[in-house]
Amino acid sequence: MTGAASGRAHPTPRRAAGRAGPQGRARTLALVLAAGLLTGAATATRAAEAVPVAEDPVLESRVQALSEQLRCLVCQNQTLADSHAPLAQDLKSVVRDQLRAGRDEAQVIDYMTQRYGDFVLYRPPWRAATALLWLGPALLALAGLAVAWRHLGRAGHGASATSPRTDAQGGPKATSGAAAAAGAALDVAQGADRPDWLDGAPPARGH
Amino acid sequence: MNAPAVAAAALPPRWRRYLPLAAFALLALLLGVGLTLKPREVPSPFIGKPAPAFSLPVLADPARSFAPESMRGQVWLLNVWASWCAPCRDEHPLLVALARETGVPIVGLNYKDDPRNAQEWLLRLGDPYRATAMDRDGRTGIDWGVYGVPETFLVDRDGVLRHKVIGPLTRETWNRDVLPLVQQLQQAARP
Repeated sequence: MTGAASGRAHPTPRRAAGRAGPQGRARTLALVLAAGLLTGAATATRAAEAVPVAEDPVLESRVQALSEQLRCLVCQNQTLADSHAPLAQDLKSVVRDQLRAGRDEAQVIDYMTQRYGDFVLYRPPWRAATALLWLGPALLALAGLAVAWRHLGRAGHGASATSPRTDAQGGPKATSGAAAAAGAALDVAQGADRPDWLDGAPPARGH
Repeated sequence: MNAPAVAAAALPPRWRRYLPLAAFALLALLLGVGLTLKPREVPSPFIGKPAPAFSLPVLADPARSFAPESMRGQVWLLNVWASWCAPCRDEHPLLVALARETGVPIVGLNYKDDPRNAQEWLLRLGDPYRATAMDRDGRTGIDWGVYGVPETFLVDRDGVLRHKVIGPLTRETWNRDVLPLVQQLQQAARP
């Protein structure tokens, strides 16, 4: 969370101590305060944080929705909505101000990407450079299916009662150093020169 | 990914046993390259674009203001710093030395700081800045794409951002990345 590890500093938490606090809790608190209005003086700082929610719930829900699409530059695996880093709070207030000034979501996102690049987008845009990122999982799944298809098809031909995996592990070649992760690919490779008996019962004694 | 499986079937049997090793080597190579990347250093999309304008009160005299346009015609540095920033303290002696040695104007952007603390810092540690602009709410920092301190921007004669150093400037980064660029920009097309 802090910049100490990277040799950089970020505004100290105490600076924002009055403003920090999980969003959900703040919202609940706001509702409680708004409904009750009994404890006006209690926890003045927290009430101050809750003001925008009560002021304009529509705007605040837009700010929240947009904050969930933007990355906190300090805590890089968090969205602006999740992060309590002072910079995230600042960026959120920028989002709020711009929306209040009548800009739409796309314009605010443009503003952020102009300053912080595509990195600020929690959901990477669809580009040539990100094609592998988007398609990678599907390609891997397809490859896995293809390998499984070939392998299972071959196992089926032998009318085997045992599972293909048991076959592979019991096979003489598989024990010659195949890593478990590469097992499937190796099975396909082995298919061609695998002895017949592997798919069925072990050879009879004295065969 | 289907292609390797097909290729695997086509390989001579005695090579197939090396497939897992090859897959491991490829993975190790990719992870090794990944280790050299610095995800904390987000490249600035501003490089090669005009520096964002601002006008902020000057620390030494809040009645006056500083605007980047006033630096037109000069190659200068904008150093984002704060008195609460420990790495800035490490960086500071170098800035003082550079201001003395090189004559490249350095402008400070005092980021989300208390002016009293900032002034005390400059009194005690030396003031390398031509001027220090006070960005008390951090909005100008955001406008410049600052996401931590220190950061240092190099701006050319035409007000175009040329380089950004994320984190404390060191003698090494200065000599390797910044100084050659400064000299090149200073020589290029004197107005």
